[in-house]
Amino acid sequence: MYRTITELGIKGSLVAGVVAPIVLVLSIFGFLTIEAWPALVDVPWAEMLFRPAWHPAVEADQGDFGLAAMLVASLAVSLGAVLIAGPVAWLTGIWAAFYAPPRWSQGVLRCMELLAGLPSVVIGFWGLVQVVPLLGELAAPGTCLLAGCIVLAAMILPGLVIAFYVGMRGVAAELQLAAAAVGLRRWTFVQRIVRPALRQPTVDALIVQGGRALGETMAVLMVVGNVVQFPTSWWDPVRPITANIALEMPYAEGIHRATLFAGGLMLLGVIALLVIAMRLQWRREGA
Amino acid sequence: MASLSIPHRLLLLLLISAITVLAATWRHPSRSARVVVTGSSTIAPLMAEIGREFERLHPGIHIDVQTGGSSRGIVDVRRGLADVGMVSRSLRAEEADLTAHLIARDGIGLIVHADNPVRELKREEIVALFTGQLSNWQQLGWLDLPVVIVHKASGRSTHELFLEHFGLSDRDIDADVVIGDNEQGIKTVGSNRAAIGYVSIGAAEYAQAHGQSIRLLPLEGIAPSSDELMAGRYPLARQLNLVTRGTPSPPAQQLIDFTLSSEAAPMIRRMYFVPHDN
Repeated sequence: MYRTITELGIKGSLVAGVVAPIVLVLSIFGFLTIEAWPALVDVPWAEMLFRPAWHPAVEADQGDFGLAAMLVASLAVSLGAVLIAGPVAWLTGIWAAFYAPPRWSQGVLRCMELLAGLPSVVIGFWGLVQVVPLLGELAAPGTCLLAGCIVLAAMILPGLVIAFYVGMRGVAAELQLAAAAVGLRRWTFVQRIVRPALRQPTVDALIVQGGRALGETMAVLMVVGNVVQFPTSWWDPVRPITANIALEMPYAEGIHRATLFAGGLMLLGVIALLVIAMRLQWRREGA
Repeated sequence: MASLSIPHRLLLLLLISAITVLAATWRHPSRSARVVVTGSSTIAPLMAEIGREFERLHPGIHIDVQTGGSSRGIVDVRRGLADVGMVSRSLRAEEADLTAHLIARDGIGLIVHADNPVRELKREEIVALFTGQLSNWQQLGWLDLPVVIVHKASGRSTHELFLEHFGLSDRDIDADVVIGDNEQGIKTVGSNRAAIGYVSIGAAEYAQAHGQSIRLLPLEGIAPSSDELMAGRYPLARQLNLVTRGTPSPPAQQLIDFTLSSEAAPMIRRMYFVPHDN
């Protein structure tokens, strides 16, 4: 009896643990769809997906509801962040795993953990008072796509460094001694053995962190300028979808409000595509 | 206790927390009075805060604040769905069946960086600046510096009021930075010499008093100050009203009286509105 109750408890918790995330994802999807419904019915999908003009109104026929420029902005700002943070994190990882004295590499890793724990508003504020004025010296006003990329890069850097470092140590434990025994130089070891072995985990880490950048809101909102337009250079102000939701949701009504939810739905779709792309690649690698 | 296995302890913990949550959220289907307040999203955050304070002072009265725009406030009060409507403008002639209680005024001031020597802008100049026809401060007698236009995001009351006053549409505006709340606007203008923007006057006065390097510009010759706003002389402003129909229920009347009292005035100022002087 005692045993069965215990087992029942364990089984119950396991089932709950499995079901909860599924229910959560489905309910978020359902909630977004319900809230976005008026827009999905009244605003042509082609307008939302392909038009850049965003002049929302309470009624569908009085405004422009194009989300295209903001979707491109979301993708551009995340891609930029990955392009900046990726190589830096890769080099930091190599240095910490193979070159630095243990005390130094531990110090850097602790710093990264600290950075990872900073609330995004704090990083956004750093962006607003440090990065934006600096960029403003080069091209006024400084609130632009590049500022958003830099701020997001700072946010995803710790996750990338830690992921790369852990992966590299894993490879190293198995192969570093063997490599040393056959007389490989450290850089050759990194290039010829670590890099190919870590190709897949690296891509995964970049996708996960890129997805995180895609969803980030507050820090980006503070530094990107929020003008709705297709970016033509790194210096243009842009408005990502998340920033749009945060900026306009408190006062939006009717179709305007529903379109903001439609934007959220779109972002969920993009992230789902990223996850699917990652799975497909896993499968190909596995085959 | 020590003999309990870990899953048992877990279950016990779950049970205890479930009971705690239930106990905390449980409400008697009480006989307490309820005041429903609906309408303007500009006034709603203020009324929510005032409502909380009112509930604290009058246990047994529940204040329910819902947004949906000024027109919803009027419709709901007429249909009897709400006891009090929130309307962020003055009542029109055809709304004479309702009684308005002026609680505060909301005004918008143009702000520039403190270094900017331009002391006054004409209406046409403001329109030209925001539509991109005037794009360099040199054209207004200052340095060769491209103007940075700081505009508000759609849906905000300040945004709507500003466009309406200058007869502009959102499509006409040639913005360089789009901001959300007043603080963000003030920080943006304060950190950029070439910027010009517009924010709630109360917020700008507060920021100026606390050392932000911004300056409020007069509009049509009238200084953007709480005093001028209160006197009703400043042009870019509007009333914030609570409206009722017929004789309000005693708790609704109590809520209106409380909102108009000096006790509520600090809360109104905290939202950067200018409380009506009674």
